[in-house]
Amino acid sequence: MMTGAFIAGAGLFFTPMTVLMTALGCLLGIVIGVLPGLGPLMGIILLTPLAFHLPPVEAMGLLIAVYVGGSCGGAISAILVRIPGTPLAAATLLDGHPMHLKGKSREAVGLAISASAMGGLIGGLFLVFLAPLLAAVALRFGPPEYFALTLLGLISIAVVSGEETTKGLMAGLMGLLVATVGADPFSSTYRFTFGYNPLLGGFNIVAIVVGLFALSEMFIQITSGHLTEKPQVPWVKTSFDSIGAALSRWVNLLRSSLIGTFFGILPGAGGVISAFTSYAVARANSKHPELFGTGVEDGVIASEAANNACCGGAMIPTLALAIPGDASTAVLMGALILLGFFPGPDLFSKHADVVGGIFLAYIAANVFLLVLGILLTPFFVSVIKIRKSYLIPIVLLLSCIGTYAIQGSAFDLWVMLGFGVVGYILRRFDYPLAPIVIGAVLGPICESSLRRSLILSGNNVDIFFNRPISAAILIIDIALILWIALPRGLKSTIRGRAIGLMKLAPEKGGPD
Amino acid sequence: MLRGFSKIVAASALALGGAGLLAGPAIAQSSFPTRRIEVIYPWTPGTPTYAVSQIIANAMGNNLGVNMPVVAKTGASGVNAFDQALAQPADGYSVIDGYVAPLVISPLFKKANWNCGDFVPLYSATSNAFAVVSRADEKRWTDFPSFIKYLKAHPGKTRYTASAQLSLPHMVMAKVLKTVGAVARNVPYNDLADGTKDLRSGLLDWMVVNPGIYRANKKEFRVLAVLSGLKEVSKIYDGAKRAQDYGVDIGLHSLAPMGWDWWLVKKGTPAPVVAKLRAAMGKALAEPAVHNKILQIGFVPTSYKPDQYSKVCTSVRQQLQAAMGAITWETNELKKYH
Amino acid sequence: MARLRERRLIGELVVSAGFLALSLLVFEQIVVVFAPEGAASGGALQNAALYPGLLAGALAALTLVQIGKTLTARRAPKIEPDQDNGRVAPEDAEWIRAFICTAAFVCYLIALPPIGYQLATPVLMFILYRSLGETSLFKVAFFAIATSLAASFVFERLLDVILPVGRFGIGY
Repeated sequence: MMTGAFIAGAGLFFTPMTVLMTALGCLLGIVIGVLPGLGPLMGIILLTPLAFHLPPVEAMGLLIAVYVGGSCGGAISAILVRIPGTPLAAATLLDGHPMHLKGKSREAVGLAISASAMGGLIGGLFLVFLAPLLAAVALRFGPPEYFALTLLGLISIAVVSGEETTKGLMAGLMGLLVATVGADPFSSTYRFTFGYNPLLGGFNIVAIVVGLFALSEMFIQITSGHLTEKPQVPWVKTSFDSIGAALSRWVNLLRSSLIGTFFGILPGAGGVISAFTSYAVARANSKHPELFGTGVEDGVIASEAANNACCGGAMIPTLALAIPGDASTAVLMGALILLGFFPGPDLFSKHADVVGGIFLAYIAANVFLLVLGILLTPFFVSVIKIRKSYLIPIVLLLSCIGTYAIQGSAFDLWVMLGFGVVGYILRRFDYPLAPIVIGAVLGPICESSLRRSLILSGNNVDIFFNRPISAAILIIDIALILWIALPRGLKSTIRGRAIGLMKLAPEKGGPD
Repeated sequence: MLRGFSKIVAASALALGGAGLLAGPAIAQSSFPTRRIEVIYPWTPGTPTYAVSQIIANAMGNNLGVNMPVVAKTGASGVNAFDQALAQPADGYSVIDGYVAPLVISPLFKKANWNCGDFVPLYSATSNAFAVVSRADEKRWTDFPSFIKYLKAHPGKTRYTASAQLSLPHMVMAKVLKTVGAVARNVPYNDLADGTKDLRSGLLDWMVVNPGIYRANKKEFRVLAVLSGLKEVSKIYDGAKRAQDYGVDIGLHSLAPMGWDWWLVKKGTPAPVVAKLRAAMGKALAEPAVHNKILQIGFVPTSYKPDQYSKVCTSVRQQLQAAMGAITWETNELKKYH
Repeated sequence: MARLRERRLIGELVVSAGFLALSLLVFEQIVVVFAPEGAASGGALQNAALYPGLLAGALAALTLVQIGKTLTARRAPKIEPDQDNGRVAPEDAEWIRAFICTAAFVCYLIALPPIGYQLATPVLMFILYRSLGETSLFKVAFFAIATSLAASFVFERLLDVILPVGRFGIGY
C-alpha cells in the first residue's frame, strides 16, 4: 500500500515548484526556529495564509518543511547565545552551549543539525511504513497511561538538575504550579487569576521560556562587561564532517530517535518532553554521566535527534487518526482541511497520492535540513561576531516581537519580563531553569490526565494499576525514583557489578 | 551628564521624526481600512472552525483590499479573546469571531459580564450541529431508542464526553438526558479529538461530536441522533435521523442547540466603518467558492442578516438559560449512583 | 570574600523564602477563593484545589529541606568566578547599566500599547545601544531606526504579524 502511495505521490511531489517550496519552507523554518519566541507552531500559523493559494502538495511541502526546520532551528541560538530559540531546544542548551564555550561552535551546530535531520528521517521511516499500525498503539494510551508517562517526564527533572537535585525539584514544582494559572478546564474555576483577566488564559509557554532563558541571559551579559569589544571569532568553514560525528554515535542517535518517535506518536506529549527524556536516558546510559552538562556531543545528539524524530512521530496520529500529535501538527491538519482534505483512514484510501506526496515532502524536508543547515552554519556562527552592545538589543527586540506574535498580547511581554527577573535570580543561586520548562509543559497534561482518569473510574485510583500499560509505566517510575534516591556510593557499586556481569556474558551486552 | 542627556533627547526626537515621516501617509488617509484588520479567534488554531474563519477572512480581506490575519487568542472558553477584543478601540480594526460559548454561555455562568448588546453584528457566519455517536461496532445498542433504553437501565454507568465542562455540547446533551430521564457520567475533554481517541479505545461509551470530528472519523462512528431541529443538518451527518424523528423533543430550537458564530465589532464602532465591513463580509459569504469550501468542511453558512442578530442572540440566550438547569440536574443525579 | 559569602547565604535564604511564599499563596487562594466557590472539595471534577494543593505542599516541604541544607552546610556556599570574565560579582557601573536597560524596557512595555511599535521601538533601541556603550550618536540613531524598520518589515510585511499600532494607528 505504501509503495503505491509513494509512486502516486511522486508525481505530485517531484515538480520544480513543490521541491522549491519544500526547500524554501525548510530555510524559513530554520530562521523562524533561530528567532527567540517564534517556533515551528507560529511558523506554520504565519505561513498558512500563503499556503492557501498553492496546490495541496506544494502547500503541505512548504508547511511541513517549516515544521521540520523550525524544530531544529532553536538549537542554533541555544548553542551560540544560550537562548533556546524554541522551547524544544531547552534541553539542547545543556550541552550545546558549553560546547560553544569550549570553542566548538561549528561542531555543536553541525551536530545538532545532523542529529535533527537523521532523527527526523528515522521518525519518517516509522511514519511511512508503520503509520496505521502505530496509530493503533497510540489508541492504547488513555488518561491513566498519560499520567504515568508525565511522571516519567517529571523524573527527568532530577537528571537534568545535576548536583542540585533539591533545587531542580523545587524549580520543577514551580513550573507545574505556574501551569495551573487560568481557568480550570474541569470545574471552570478561575485559579490564581486574582481578578485580573489577562491571566485567564494562563501563562504562555513561549513567554515563559523566552523570559527565563533569553532575558536572564541578557541581564547576565550586560553585567559581565566587554560589551563593545569585537568578539574574536574565526570564520568557520562549511564542513559535512558532523554527519560522520553523529553517525559514529549511532546507538545514542537511534535510541534518541526512537524515544522521539514514541513521544510523537502519543498525541499531546510533544517534542519538549521527548528531548528531555531522551537526554536523561542518554545520560543514564553513558559511561561518563558526570560529563553531561559540560559540553558532550551525546547530550546534543540526544535532545536534537529526539525532538525532530518527534515530528515524524506526531504526523502518524495526525494523518492516520485525525488526532493531532502536537500543537504544530494540529495546525498542519487545519491547513490540510483548509486545502480540502480530511485526514484519517479515508485519506489513505481515497487520496493515496496526497498521502504519498506528504510523506515525500517530509523526507525531503529532512534532507534539505541537513544540506541547508550545514551550508548555513558559518553564517549563523558569524552572528556572534556582532558586538554585544548591538547584539543584545537586537535579540531583545526579536524576543519581544516573537513573543507578541503568538497571540498579539502585550500582557505576554510582561510575563516574559517577569520570568526574566525570576530566571536571573534563580540562575545566580544555582537553580536549574530547565525543570521549570519541563514542569510548565507537562503540568496541564499531568493534571488533566490525573483528574480525567479519576472521573472515568468514579474517583477510584485502581484505574492506574488495573491497566497493564499504565501499571508497567508506574512500576518503571517507582524504580527510577528509588534509583535516584539511592546514595551515590551504592549506585556506583551496583553499576560496577552490573558491568562486571555484562563482561561475563558479552553476547548479552550491547554497545555504548 | 546633562549634555549626554540632551543628546539622547535630540536623537530620540530624530528617531521619532523619522518614524513619523514614514507613517505620515497612513495617518493622512481617512478612508477605512488603511491597514490590516485583525480577526480575533477564540479557540486553539488548527481546528476546522479555524479553517472556516480563515476562508471567510481571506475572502473578506480581498474585498476590502487589506489582509485580515486570524489571530488565535485562547483561554477560558473564549472569554480571554473577547476580553482582549473589548480592550481594543472601537475602530473596526479588530473583528471578533463571536462564538456562542463566550458570547452567550460564559455570561450565563457569570464567567463574563457582557451581553449581546455590547457588540455590533456584521453577518452570521456558520453553524455546526452536534450529534450523538458511539463506536461503529457497538453491540449494546443499535439506534437512538435502544441507546436511551440502555442508558435508563444502567443509570450513571456509561461514560461520555461532550467537549469541555459547561460547553454548549455538554449543555445540549445534559438537556437531552434530562428530557428522557437518563443519567450518564460526563468526562470533560478540552479537545474533542482526544475524546475520540478514548472512545475508539473503549474508555468512553459514547460521545457528542461536531461535523469536523465526524468527517475525520466517519467509519469509526455510528451516528445515533443529530441534535438539531433543522432538517438540512441531517445531510452533514450523511442523512442520520434527528432526535425529534424518534419523538424526543430536546426543547431547544433553531440555532439554540447548535454551535454558531457571528462576526462582531465592538459597540461604538463608527457606522460607515461597520457598513464597509458588512458589505465586504456579505459579499464574501455570497461567493460560491467560499460557500462550497465551508460546506466541504462540514459547516453550514447561516447567512443571517445583521438586523436578525439581536433576535437570534436573545432567543438563544433565553433557551440556554432554561437548559442550564440540566447540568445541575445531571450533577445531582450522578451523586445518587456513586 | 567573607562578606560575599555572607551575602550569598542571605540571598539563598531569601530565594527559599520566595518559594515558601509561593506555596503559602497557593494555600491562601484555596481557602479564600476556591473554597467559597465549592472548588476545594468533592470529586476530581469539582475539586480544582486538589492538584495545586498537592504541588504546593510538596514545594513547601522541599523548600524546608533546602533551607535546612543551606543552614547546616559546613562550608558557606562557594563563590565561583564568572565563566566569561573571571570575576565573582559585577561592578557598580555594570549594575547601573543593567538598571537603565531594565528601566528603559519597562517604559517601553508601558508605552507600547498607547503609542505603538513604530514610535516606541526606535527610542528603546537608541537608549539600549547607547547605554550598552556605543558612543557615536549618528551611528546609534541610524541603527536604532534601521533595526526597528527591518524587524517591522520582516514581521509585518512578510509574516503578516500585526504589531501594536497605538492611538495614532500607525502601522501597515
